[in-house]
Amino acid sequence: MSISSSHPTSISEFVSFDGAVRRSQQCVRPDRYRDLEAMPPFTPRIVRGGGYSYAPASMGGQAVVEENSAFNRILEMDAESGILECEGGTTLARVYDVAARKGWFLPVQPGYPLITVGGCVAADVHGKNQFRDGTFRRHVAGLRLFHPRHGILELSRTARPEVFDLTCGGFGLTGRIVTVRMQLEKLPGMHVRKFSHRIRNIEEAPALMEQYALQAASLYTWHNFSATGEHFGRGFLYGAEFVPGESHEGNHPKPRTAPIDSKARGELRFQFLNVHTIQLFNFAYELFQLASGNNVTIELFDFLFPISGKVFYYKLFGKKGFHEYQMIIPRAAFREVAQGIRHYLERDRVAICLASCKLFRGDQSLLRFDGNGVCLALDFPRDTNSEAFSSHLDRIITDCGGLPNIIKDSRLPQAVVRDCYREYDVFRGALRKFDPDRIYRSETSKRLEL
Amino acid sequence: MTWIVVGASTGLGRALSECLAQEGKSLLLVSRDPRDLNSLASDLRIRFEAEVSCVCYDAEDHVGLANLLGGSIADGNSVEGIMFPIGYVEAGDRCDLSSIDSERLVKVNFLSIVSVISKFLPGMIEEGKGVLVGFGSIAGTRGRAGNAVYSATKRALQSYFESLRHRCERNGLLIQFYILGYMDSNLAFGQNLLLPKADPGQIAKSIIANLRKGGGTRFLPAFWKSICLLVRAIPWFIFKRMQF
Repeated sequence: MSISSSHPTSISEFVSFDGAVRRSQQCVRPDRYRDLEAMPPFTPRIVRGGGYSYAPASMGGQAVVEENSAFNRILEMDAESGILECEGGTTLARVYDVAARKGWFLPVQPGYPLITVGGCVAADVHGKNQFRDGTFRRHVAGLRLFHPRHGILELSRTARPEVFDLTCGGFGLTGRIVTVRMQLEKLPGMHVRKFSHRIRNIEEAPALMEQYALQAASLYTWHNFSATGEHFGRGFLYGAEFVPGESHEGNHPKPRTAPIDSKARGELRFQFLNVHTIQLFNFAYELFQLASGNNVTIELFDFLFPISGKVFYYKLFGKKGFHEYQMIIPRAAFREVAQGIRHYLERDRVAICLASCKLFRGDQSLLRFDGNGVCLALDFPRDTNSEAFSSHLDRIITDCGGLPNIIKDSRLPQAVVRDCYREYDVFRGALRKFDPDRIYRSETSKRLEL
Repeated sequence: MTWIVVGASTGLGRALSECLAQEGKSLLLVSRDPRDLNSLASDLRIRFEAEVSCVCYDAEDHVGLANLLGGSIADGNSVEGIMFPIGYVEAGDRCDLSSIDSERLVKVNFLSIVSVISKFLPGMIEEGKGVLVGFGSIAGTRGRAGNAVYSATKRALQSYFESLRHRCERNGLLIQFYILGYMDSNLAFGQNLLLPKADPGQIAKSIIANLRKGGGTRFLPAFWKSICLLVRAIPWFIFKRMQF
């Protein structure tokens, strides 16, 4: 079965990384530039990078999935200026590998090395200290975008800036991100020193983070939501700083990546993380952190890609999967939101396996996950209580004027997104103006009526 | 000393180019579309600091290709080896392909290789060294209704490489020919095949490792040798009923 004779097609099953959405659909794997142009122009499609979005942003939506794995070449690396240009399917591991050897690195990137650069642009991801480094878009100097209606477009802050703006954080709905040109930062060293501080409860987190937010290369907290009463959310603040003055020359360990994909994530039948095991899990983690000590020096790769060595965590959610609810809470409302969550958890049992805060600042626009406040991420297993808890969080975040992260949530209702993202209609209108046929679509865009 | 890879931009050709660049070889890459080829060349230069040049040309004009390649190798820079991971299949190739399509298959899959080799062989023989690596397919094991002309070109190529090895036996050249099984390239994408598809990267690594070994014909992955022997041994009265 083929879309055209030059497009071998398969029927593949795709699953969102959180395990919530499964779709069997047509898939193509172009490996030449002429393949991109050969697809019939009105065929609905969506480009798939690594497939690590928790939400089904690169699958579903009755579209043909275009795998992007062949478009992973580095096109330019200027050791003087730190400009790196690569194709959209290039993994962060490859960028790291090339850039570090020349003494540069990408300061904003998510923690898993097989995520692609195109995916980072499409989700406008944040990194380890959004407060200091901004989101991915800040480091994108330019893009080349392909859309059958428009051909190849050169985009930047000065060339078609409205389309550039729509594409950064546009969930791949404006077209195929063919190449990305990034401005890297000088690599201060090949090692990073991690430090930590004990936190007595969740409400202490924002003020403590503010002390380090402008300097730290990485800054986040971990909280034990199994702890109750005044200890609710006790945990640790983790920060990291580069060990300066160390040359990158001849000091370049090969990336080590534990492979996982959305199918392998759900290969365990049993959900090991659940309401019965969560107290033990959180307690064991806390003890382990206490025993690990402070001021640990780690290698750059392990610092940039901490999830690479922890993929088993995601497998513990089993085939049923998990939810991640990530939200930016206005600073003034943080205490009230934390208390609201605590009261809910006192009434209903939800196994919060991860509760982590980061500080955010920036101007929110379109559908980008950006703005001022405290970013709180909660992971919990998909079970009988989890939908109700997610809906409760929807209400909390809407009421406090916060922002839920679209790319992390497979069920986030369209009404919540419309209420929380003040430029929802602006994005939707601009997208339809650029592409009246709405060719690029996904399960996420379908749910959000984009 | 340069390695030429004819059909370099995708699949096995791209994987071979990466392996050779990783080995520090100087490369001349040949393919049709400059966008694919220039991107690959940049990638290899940046990631492996390899010396890479490109020739963008359609192999259907096999004589033109051979002349262009001959002229691309500067004086004093001899060719260490040439790999030919070039080839394509034509949809509907079931013994009644149009003469234009058949001719194109023969030109690209067979004559382009013969023409390029005939251009470089005298120089290699004179120098008493050089490597030529060709690629056949398990499709050429036994004629069947599907991929008729494609299979014929691959079997013709195998015969040509046998002749080449015979011709060069006493000239110090290394002649290798691979019969390739299913590979996870776009040729096999989406097909429900009985046996697993090999990763082109792994196949390329085996081919590069085998450059230290002798000439001759090999199967990759190796288990295909037994399967091809078995297919050849199937009596006609059974074979004629088989659909594959």
